[in-house]
Amino acid sequence: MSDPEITPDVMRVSWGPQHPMSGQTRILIDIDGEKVHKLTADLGFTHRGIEKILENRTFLQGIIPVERMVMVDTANVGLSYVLAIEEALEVETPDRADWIRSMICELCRINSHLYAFGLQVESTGYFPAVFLWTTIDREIILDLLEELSGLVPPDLDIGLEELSIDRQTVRMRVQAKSFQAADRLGLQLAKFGPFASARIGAIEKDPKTGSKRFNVTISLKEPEAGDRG
Amino acid sequence: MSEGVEETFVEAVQAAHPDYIESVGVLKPKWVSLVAKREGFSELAFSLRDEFGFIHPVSAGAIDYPKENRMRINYYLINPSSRFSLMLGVDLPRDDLTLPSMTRVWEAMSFHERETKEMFGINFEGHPNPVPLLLPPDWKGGYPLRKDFEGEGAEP
Repeated sequence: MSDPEITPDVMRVSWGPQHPMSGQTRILIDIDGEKVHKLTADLGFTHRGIEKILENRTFLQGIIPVERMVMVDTANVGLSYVLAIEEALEVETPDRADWIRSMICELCRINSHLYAFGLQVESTGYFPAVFLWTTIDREIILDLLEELSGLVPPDLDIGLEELSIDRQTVRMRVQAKSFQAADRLGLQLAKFGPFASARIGAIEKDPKTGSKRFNVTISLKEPEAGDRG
Repeated sequence: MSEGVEETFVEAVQAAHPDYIESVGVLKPKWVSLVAKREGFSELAFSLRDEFGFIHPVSAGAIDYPKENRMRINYYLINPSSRFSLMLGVDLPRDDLTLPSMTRVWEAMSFHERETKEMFGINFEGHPNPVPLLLPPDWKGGYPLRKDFEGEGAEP
């Protein structure tokens, strides 16, 4: 942008690019005392090129980078992406999925509104406690979302190091404290119906920490004819 | 919603500008896609704003089709009174990427055209401030959103 004329009375203040309220945005403000003459926005400090990232990923892998766009409201961003793919592929979702999605989106919406409201009140500089109150209420929602997405039962006592999904195959790199964890995981996987097969690879022992590592490969069942939708 | 409002709109646009329009299609209820010819694009845009009420610019962007040697530039518009959405597209050959700037028609397209220029290398003639929007000012890596971009960070 062409530089506006800077006279002795007009001062240019750079607001950002780091600012506790705005995040990464830079705004050049030409001010004369308290009178603002001009604002020049300088964007791009959080531009990550999601379009380019998605060019090299499958649709399923794309959900994860898309959800990174919004910190506190991931579901609604992810939903719009997923709905676009479903429309392009002409996939119909069952009612149960729609209900679950609606509930997650509503929880995320309330979560994000509480966060925004708390920050907004705090940024006035007078009521810092309000942010703490909304955080307490957000905890309820975060617990619910964690219950929904925390699919690893705690008594399995395993941790995931890597997870990759390639078409009908899920590969996991698992870390556990004891050898028995592999047996427990095998039993749990055998309980679930929709897998064609679940295999647990050789168990390696980490000489430094003593923890056990192994690979798990799960093949999802191929959809049967007439079992679509 | 009464039936056929999209068709009525399509017929009205085609009757008003038979020379400027390449194709018109209805994508969804109240959502129309219009592909314009490069010649007379500004006149068509002014007419869409003044006569058809598309006063609200939503977004603009481009799609690269390297195999067909063309780029499609899309302007997304809304008519707030009739709630019609319009995708106004125009095809440019990849070796001559010049289009009159739509900032004369919709001033708010300025940021979107700046982004499209830096990401795809499309030259918007008459843009009041054609400097990069998101990329750093000293960026020399080419046009990142083109399909043949192989610069820093591009995956093979």
